[in-house]
Amino acid sequence: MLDPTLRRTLMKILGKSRVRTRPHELSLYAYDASLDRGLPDAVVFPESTDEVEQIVRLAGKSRTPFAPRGSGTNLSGGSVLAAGGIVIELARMDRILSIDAENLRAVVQPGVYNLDLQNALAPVGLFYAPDPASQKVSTLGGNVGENSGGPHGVKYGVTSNHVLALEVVLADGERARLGGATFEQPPLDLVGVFVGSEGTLGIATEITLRVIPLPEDVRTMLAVFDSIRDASSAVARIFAARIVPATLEMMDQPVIRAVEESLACGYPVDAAAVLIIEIDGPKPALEETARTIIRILQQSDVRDVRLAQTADERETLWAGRRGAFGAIARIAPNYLVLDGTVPRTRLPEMLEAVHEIGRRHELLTGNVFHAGDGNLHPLFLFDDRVSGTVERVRRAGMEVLQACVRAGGTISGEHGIGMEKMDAMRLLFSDDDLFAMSLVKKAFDPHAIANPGKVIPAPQETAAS
Amino acid sequence: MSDSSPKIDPLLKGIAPEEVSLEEGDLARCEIDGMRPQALLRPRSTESLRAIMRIAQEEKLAVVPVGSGSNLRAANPPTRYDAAISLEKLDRILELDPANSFMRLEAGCRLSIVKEALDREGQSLPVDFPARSGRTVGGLFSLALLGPRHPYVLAPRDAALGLAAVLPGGRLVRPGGITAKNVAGYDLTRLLVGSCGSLAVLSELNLRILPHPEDRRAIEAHFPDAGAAFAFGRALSRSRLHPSFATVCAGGGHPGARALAGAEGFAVDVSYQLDRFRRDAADAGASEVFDPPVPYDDLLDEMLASASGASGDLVVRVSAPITQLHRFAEVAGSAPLVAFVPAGVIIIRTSEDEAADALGQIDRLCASVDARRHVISAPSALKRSIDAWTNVPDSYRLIQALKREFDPAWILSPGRLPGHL
Repeated sequence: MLDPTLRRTLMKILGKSRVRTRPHELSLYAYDASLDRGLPDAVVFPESTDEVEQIVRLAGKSRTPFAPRGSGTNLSGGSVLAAGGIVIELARMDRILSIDAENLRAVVQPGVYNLDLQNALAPVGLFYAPDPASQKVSTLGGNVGENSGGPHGVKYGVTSNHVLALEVVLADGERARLGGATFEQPPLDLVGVFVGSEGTLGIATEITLRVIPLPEDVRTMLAVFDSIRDASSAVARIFAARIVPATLEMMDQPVIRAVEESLACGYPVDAAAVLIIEIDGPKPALEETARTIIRILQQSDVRDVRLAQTADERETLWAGRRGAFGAIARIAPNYLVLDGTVPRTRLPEMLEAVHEIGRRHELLTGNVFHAGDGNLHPLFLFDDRVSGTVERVRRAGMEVLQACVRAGGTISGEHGIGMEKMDAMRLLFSDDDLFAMSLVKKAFDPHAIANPGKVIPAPQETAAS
Repeated sequence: MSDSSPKIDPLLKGIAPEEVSLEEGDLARCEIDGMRPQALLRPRSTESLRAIMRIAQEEKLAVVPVGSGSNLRAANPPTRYDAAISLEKLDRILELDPANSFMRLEAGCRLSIVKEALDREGQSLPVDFPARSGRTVGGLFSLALLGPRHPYVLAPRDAALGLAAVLPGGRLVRPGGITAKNVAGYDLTRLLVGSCGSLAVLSELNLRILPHPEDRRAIEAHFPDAGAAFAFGRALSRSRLHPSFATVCAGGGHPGARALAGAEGFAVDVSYQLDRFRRDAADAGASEVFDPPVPYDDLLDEMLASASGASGDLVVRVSAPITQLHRFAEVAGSAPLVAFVPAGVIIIRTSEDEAADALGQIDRLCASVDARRHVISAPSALKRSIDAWTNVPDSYRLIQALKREFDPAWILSPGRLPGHL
């Protein structure tokens, strides 16, 4: 429960309407898109960096935990406070502050939706490359917190490759500027370590992003396969042919069916897998590259290839991919989605492992993922009202992460560790690795009040080892 | 061989004799702005490197990793310097996996050797480095400077997927991995790459690799003045084509300015882009546009060399908004300069006599256009009186806190970071 003096002070700073402490209000912030739950003691709605500073300074003085929150689309429990504290909801800091087209950069507040920035950039011939499937509703502050990726990551990289500078409020309420508005950064990449830190090092209140000229042209195609192994083999062959596609996404049959029933994008429901392949760049080579890809697909026993002929056709192909998670919700009330990443050549065995784990735990399983960079998204579908199911799903999830690590990969490609994968961190990292991470945490947040209980398992113990 | 000071005896006793050099020539090569170490340590294994870092912390001996020694002056001089650490004996390529687009290698590998190994597989590192470099991979990634082909190729921090490093005290850490996407834990890889060897000693790197393009060519254009050449560079930076670089070179007694613009990829794309570049150059006022008679790598190296200094010269890198680069060329006057326009980087060289004045002018302009200055080399007296970097005040206390946490005894490259930390 929030200390009454602290509550009164927060109300004095923000006004009563922007400080919520009633149980039914707090319950709306007790969850995100993961399976994790935790009731905060208060939710506050700052509208400026000054207000964030004041809130965090108060939290710091009273050693009250706090967590930043965007749209709550977090898939690993990063937005949920495990043991109470203040949720700092940043949705009202939602302005695009500037777009500097000539210097290829944009400055935004953290509550701006990813897609809103894309829509503002397109008229001046620019785009922002990270494009998580949740881009309609996920905020850029959240993208920074999780180091979000998206389909275009295979060619253009993830959030950390595109953030030039941050204005942040540190855990003691002090404001700092990290990085700079130019491309070459000075020693100690503080931006790089802050991006993906899941709100555990402070709160980003202003974000300077690198933006890119739109490519001259784009081609999008759907490739239909009767076997997942053939689809995976095509992925490897495309890269072997010196082609770096702008996107290379895969869906397997359970997901294809859910998407078709929900969105009717024209995907064949009897296919074992489909690939959505997009290439972009200067016009002349696109036709030739598309022909090369089709030849590769044919060598991989593709059943059918559909090349989008119009912008509408392209959008229809993408609508299914972007709507896949929503479509899955029609099949079962709950799902767990993981995001382990493996080297591309290990995809066939990983997909088999995912289905075997699903079968063994009697879970309906689907896959929709970024095949080009080996970033899996296995989905386990379930109903949490059935006793013992959540535990079964969590065990299955841990087994998938173990398989990813055995395959030379990692436990998270873009969703973060949050609470969900804390136990899995030790699959990947030694005590010394975790110790080094705890040094970063201590430098930024010595009293461990910024989103505690996330990212590093038992940091105090490892630091003392 | 000279006698060592008793102060460093614990270090010398802690590793094998063949891993130590006290030769004057070796020590002279490790000199940084007038400071010379008492020993050069060449560990032959990670375990030996760990022993060095453990003893250095216990005995509070200041150690500095030196790479090939080619860019030792590109940071602040160390405040203490007992021993240099060279990883030249840790020079194995551990894994090269084109199908999964990565390689693992030890930090002492020479870039020229790495390039040869990659060429045999039709692969390349997606970062810039001088084509005939004797530099080590560890050195390149400790400084993490951008080259002419950024952002077409990656910044070193983006190209490193993971690494192994030894902390002061001897702990071996392995952040990151071998996949391009990886958000597990804090990104210590990005923190340690470009940290000037001041938080840990890099011992291995996991790097992205990419296949060679089918074709790579450039056009060269001569302009009556630098302003026109920069206008051409800006147009390409903003272009919806995909130029791999647009480099401007001026000064040094040559009239006007030269620009080199390149494209990589499928041959048909390269031809298409170069045709457009030729038109863009003419539109920007080029007096002459032609296909360069020698490979463009050689020309880029030549341009870089023209702005690299002899000992005693001032060599300054400025990272600036693309639209402001030409103003630094104006400040440079007739001094040799090379600018990687899409990367927003300009390198200016002035003689020792003009160094202090030139630096003052550059610093004033940096302050007015939100740019950063980095001194790569300078006359020793000047270097000791300045910070190698400008414009990092807000994050100074975080840099200080990280240094304190990672290196509590202040033994690793002390003083090398911004603010002489």
